[in-house]
Amino acid sequence: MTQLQKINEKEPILSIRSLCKRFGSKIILSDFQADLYRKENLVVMGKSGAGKSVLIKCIVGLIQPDSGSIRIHGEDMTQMSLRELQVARRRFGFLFQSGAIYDSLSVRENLEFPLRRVGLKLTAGEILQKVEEALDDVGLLASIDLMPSELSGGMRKRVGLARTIILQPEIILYDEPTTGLDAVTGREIISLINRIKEKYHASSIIITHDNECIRTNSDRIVLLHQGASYVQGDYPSLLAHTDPFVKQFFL
Amino acid sequence: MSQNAFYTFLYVTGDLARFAGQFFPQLVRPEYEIREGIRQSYLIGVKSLGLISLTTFIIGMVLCMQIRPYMVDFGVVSELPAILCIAIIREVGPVLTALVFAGKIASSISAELASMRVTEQIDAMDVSGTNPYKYLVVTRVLACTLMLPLLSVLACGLALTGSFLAINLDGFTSYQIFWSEVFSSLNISDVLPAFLKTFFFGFVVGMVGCYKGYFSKTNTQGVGESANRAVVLSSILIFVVDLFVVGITYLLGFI
Ligand SMILES: Nc1ncnc2c1ncn2[C@@H]1O[C@H](COP(=O)(O)OP(=O)(O)OP(=O)(O)O)[C@@H](O)[C@H]1O
Ligand SMILES: [Mg+2]
Repeated sequence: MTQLQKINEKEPILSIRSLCKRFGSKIILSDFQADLYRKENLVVMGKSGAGKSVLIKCIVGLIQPDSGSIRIHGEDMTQMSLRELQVARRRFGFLFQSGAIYDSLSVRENLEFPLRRVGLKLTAGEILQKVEEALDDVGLLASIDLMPSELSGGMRKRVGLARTIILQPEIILYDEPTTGLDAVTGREIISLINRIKEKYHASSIIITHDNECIRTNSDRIVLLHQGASYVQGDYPSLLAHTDPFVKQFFL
Repeated sequence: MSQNAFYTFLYVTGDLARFAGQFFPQLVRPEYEIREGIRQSYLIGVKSLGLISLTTFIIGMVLCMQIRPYMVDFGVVSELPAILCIAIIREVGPVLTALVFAGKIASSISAELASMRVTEQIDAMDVSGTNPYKYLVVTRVLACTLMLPLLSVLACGLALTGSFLAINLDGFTSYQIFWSEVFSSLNISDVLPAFLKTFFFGFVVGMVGCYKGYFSKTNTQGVGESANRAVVLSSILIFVVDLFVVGITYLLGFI
């Protein structure tokens, strides 16, 4: 509780206000609010189809919200031009639910891809070192020269994770990082997420159903229901919640 | 129904024009994707080379066999190389190459981009600070625009070679005589418009392939559908462009 208060004293680095999004007549998000503070893990929970993926895609501008604001350090991302948005996106890492690694490139090239094109001007040696470090983090150093078609689903996800963290972004959005992995690898990913947070002082929004991940990694939890945040709070407070809808997530 | 189809056609053409309109601004904006452009040119050229060579070679032979009896009847068989040359260089070579190219390349580009769309790879590029239009679309369209003219020149050569072999099936014509007949019958007004229009064909094929793939429906069915539609639309547009180019050169008195 004291830790939470300490975090709350600071300004949020990302603040979402009255976010609305509908597809046709289907309302996905209506008046969603949330803040993300520095060095914080914010877990977003919700039923399948509740709009969790839509929410984080709105944050990076892959989906244009109908109304509302998303401010990063006070700047509204929904009002940015495409070029400003591209610059702002460099602060983000995004792990897609499916991994989304590039099929036509090898694992090595997948990881080099962001390094080579954000204008960092790295030498070949530095690039190789970063690639190997990121792959080592996800335990896939041996697969560096494989093509994505030669990888299992879980391995693709881990390559996607390595690609997400390789630029050491300030804010990382994880869309179900442990889904589709076995329990052991899942735990490794969870501790990796924690290590990244400590090492690079990153803030994260984590979408997950994994109770283990929520218990060990969440500073704060938002439960998304009917387009809005149903409850917010830390793990113990949600665990002790009496609302039956909240309870069913923590059985 | 037909009115509906007409509106859909207009809508798609307008949307395609908007998509294509980004091409030149993105092409000249710095941070050029040169490596990827070269890689795509190579892949696109290699992928379509065999098919284009085979079809145009055969068409050259067939054309010769079809026309020859009439030339004999009219007693102008000596004009055969010139007639074949005009037909092949002006129309058959470029258009057939473009159609085969559309069947092979528009579908493969569109299927590739569509599956990248479905598996969120295009979105991943977008959030990682790479402009996917520049990296995926500009490189492929440019590669198509540059490769099709080359392939078309090669195709015309092969079609004429096919005709030469067909002439020799009955009655012998020397190699030198055939080719000197061919070249002496050619004017710049035959070659230039025909060559220039292949750039437009290449641009159309690349652009339609990318457009259909880029905006594919996000399911597996969408991949096949967009590949199919890319071939249909680009083939239609090839004929439309052909009509325009030939019409303009005709009106300018080039013919
Ligand atoms: N591009 C789109 N067009 C139309 N509807 C969409 C689109 N993207 C998402 N939806 C709809 O929005 C709803 C929320 O989708 P979303 O992917 O955010 O769910 P989710 O909470 O991430 O679920 P899961 O846990 O299964 O991943 C779904 O009902 C989906 O049909
Ligand atoms: Mg989702």
